[in-house]
Formats: sequence, C-alpha cells, structure tokens
Amino acid sequence: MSLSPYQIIKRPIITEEAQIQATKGSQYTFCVVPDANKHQIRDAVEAIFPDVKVTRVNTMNYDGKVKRQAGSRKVGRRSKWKKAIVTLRAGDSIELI
Amino acid sequence: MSENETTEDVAVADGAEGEFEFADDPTFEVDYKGDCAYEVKVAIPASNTLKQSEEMYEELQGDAEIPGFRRGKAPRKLLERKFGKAVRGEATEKLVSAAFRKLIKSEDLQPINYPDIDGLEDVHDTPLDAALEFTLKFEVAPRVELGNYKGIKVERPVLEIEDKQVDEAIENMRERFAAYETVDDAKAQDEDQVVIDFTGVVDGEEFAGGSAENYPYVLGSGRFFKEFEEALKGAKTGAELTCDVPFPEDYSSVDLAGKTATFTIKVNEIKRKTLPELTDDFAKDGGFESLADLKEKVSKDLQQGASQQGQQLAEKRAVEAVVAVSSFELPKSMVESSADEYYKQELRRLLELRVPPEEIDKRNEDIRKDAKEHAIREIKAYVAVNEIGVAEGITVVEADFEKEANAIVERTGMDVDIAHRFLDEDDKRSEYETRIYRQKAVAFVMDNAKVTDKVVTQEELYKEDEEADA
Repeated sequence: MSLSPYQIIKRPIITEEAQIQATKGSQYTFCVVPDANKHQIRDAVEAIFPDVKVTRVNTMNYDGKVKRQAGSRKVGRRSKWKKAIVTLRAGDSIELI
Repeated sequence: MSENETTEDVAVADGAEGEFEFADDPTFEVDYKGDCAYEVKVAIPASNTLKQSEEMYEELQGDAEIPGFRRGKAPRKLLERKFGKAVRGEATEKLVSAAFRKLIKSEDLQPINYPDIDGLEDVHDTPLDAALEFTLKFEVAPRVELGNYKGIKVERPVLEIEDKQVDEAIENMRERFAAYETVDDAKAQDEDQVVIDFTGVVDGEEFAGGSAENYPYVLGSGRFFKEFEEALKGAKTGAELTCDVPFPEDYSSVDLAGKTATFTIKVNEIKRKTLPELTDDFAKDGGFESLADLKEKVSKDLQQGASQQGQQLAEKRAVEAVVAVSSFELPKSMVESSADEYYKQELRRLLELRVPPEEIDKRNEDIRKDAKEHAIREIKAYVAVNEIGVAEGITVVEADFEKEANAIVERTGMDVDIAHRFLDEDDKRSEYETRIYRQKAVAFVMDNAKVTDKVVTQEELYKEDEEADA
C-alpha cells in the first residue's frame, strides 16, 4: 500500500535551529514516518508544495525515549521516528509558520 | 444609599496607568439620553490598533518561551499565530478604556459604572486596519439643580419633659431591678414566677419539648398555652395538678396539631416580684448620689433625647424642603439597586413580623413602589446635601475630627487617646469625613433656615417621627 504525502510527512519541525537552516540554506526539517525512504520523502514534499523542487534529502532515525511510570516500575517507550532535512533548489522556499 | 457607591471609583481605578497616548485621536459622538444616561459612539482610528499591538508584540518577543526556541528568540510570525487573538483582545480593551477615560475627561463626566460596550463582539473577525467603532453606554452621578436653600421654613417639634414622664422612666428602672422572692403558703397569681416540673403526654406518650424540671415560668407572660396558665393560677407551693391542653389545628408541629395533651404539673416554688423601694439607697445602687439626683439626671437625659429627636426631625424636614425646591436627574441603575435594597429590607422586616407570605405576595407591588419612592427620596436628599456642601465650599478640617473625637468621648466614656486612634484608622477616617461633611452641610441649611419651635406631646413626637420615616 502506498502512503499519501500527508501520511509520509507528519509535521514540520519548528525550532530555532530549523529556522536558521531555512533562512541560510533553504533546508527544511520535517518529522516523517520511519518507513519512508528518501525518494518517497522527496516526492511527498514536492506533492504538498507544488512550487518547489527538492535537490537533496538527509534523514536520521530517532529511537523513542524510555519512559518510566511515576510511582511504579513499569517501563515504556515512546515511538521511534524519522527526521528528514530537505534541501530545496536554490531560491525556493516554504512558508511553515 | 451607602457611601462607597460614590462616583470616583471607576475613573480613579482606570487612571492609575497614566495618560494614554493615541496615535490618532478617537472621535466621540455624545448622545445624552436623560436620567444621567449617556450613549457615546466612539471611533478609534486603525493606526491606534496597529501601534498598540506592535508595542505588545515587542514586549512579548522579549520574554516569550516557545518550545524549540530559547527565551526571546521566537520569530515574530510564530508569536502572531500563537498570541494573535489575545493580543488583539487586549489591545482593543486597552484602547476602549483609554478612549473612555479620554471621553470623561474631555466632557467632564462622573460615570458611576463601567460602561456597557456595544459593537465589539466580533472584533476578531474584522481586519486589523479597520477603525474600531463601538458604542459606550453608561450613567453618570446624579445631577441636581439646587433651589434656594437659604431661608427655608422649618418647624421643630419641642417636647417639654414633665414629671409624669420622669416618673414613668423611674418606674421602668424599678421594674428592671425587680427581684423575685420566694413566698411560702401563697397562691400563685399573675406576675409571679413559679418554678415547676411538668410532663406532657399526648396519646399516652411523652412528646419532645413537653416536659421539663425546675422550669421558671412567669405567670401572665403568655408563653405557654392559656389552659396551662389557668391551671397554675391559685396553686400553692407543693401542689400537684393536671390540665388538658388542646393544640390548635394549625400548630407548628404537625404531629401535635389538633391533638390534646395532658400535663402533670408540680409546683416547686412560688416567687413573687418585689420592686425596690424608691429611696436614696436605690438611687445609689444605680450610681446616683441621691433620689433627687436620680430624678434630675433622668429628667435631663429625657430632655436631651427629646430635643435631639426634635432637632433631627427638623433637619430631616429642612433637607426635604431643599429637595422639594430643587430639580434632580437620577441615574436609573442607582435608583433601582437602591430600591431593590430597600425592598429586600422590607421583606425581611415583614418576615420577621411573621406576616404570612400570601399577604406579602398580595402587597408585593405596593412594597416595591414604596421602596422605589424611598430610594428616590434618600438619593435626592443625599445628593442635595452634598451639593450644598460643594456650593458652600464646606471642608472638613482637623478641628472637626477633634470635635468628633470629643463627642465620642462624651457619648461612650472612651479614653481620649483611644477615640483619636479610632478616628485615625483609614476607613473610619474617610467614613467620618463624609459624615462630618454632611453634618456641616445640614448645619449650614439649619443656620440659614427660619426655624420655629412647636411644643408637642410625647405621642405627637412619636407620630411625627414615624411619619418622617414613612
């Protein structure tokens, strides 16, 4: 089953660092499904923002943090996720906020 | 009307922020609706909204904490998305209250309430660059056009205290000091205090509140049923008697209503009331030097009370007379809230008098009407006296407080220093200041009035007093 663009790109990551990368190098950061590969991410971004062209995708996997229940010895895990930094063709931009 | 309902509160509370600077001045369209009610159409140019929200964002940007950003580093756009609504609302609120302050300052008004604001309900849906347009509805303090308050004719009732009244007062004193002395071998009669044990039985069973031991009961006081009293009359110490008491159908306790109780009573003791002899000793017990001294002091007290009452009545009439020749404009809300207060007071009074609710319901309309009239009269009197104070430039100075302190000392026997400290407490001070101020204003009216004295009897004085209160 193929995933829709919005299923692949979950949300933008809006932080100070992402802000700097966006203004300096047209690089935008997203939280994406861990299963998605770079091609899928590229296609999804281009589908959601039709006016931009993706030149490069860097990804990194994050393991979910271990969380303990307060007052008990139960141990759980946050879900793992994938961060994708998408570089756009020079001059292209995305309004995230 | 209470003192804290006065006018400055609203304005002062708002004015604390200092003068607000408008980028472009708002425009006002003042519409006076009569009865102290104003409706003002206000338009505040958009430049103000922009400037105001700009300032607020700048302030926000300095210390807003948003996840992902260090404090103060969040981008403006993100702030706008997150706080836009709040900023807009607050900016609007600030502008509205600033405009209101400007309005009352430029028009020299004394609002008594915070204005009702119409037309700003959908401010969040209007574009930022549209002017703020809204209507302020508020009421101002009562206005009065004083008539001629100098040379008003007033009749002052004067009561000459006669020996009869002094005797009556002394007789009352004796009653208060009455002692009950045990009498043996006497028949109980009215005003005797009998100490009794009694047991009440209904349908062969004792009921709650129907029995007691060594209960002191004063015959003729009517607190128990009359059958009970009848049975006790003429009884001697040690007598044991029984009596039947039929409870009325509408008795408050449902279980007992309509039934007949049988009481078994035992008389333990009969005490007869004895009044102290009118002698110098009696006077000395009461803290007087002699019987003659007692009589003189009582007479003086009575005279003082009566002339005070007469003076108060005269003052009340004088103020009423001033009210009658003056014209007023009173704010509706003030009249209504005050009328409501009096209405509730009256209801409470009637309930305390055990007037049946149906009766109250029937008279409801009248009570309301009376309360309203009462309120209007009181407010008018209040406003008129204050206005006279203003017109005559009456001020309350330290010497007045001094006098008041001395009066308190005289009245209560309080220590002078304590009286002074009492008056210097913050809230007391302003309370007494208003009181003294009004006293002085009334005194001014009295000084300038043509006062005629009219000798009245005690009954007439009571009657006049009641009429004045009605």
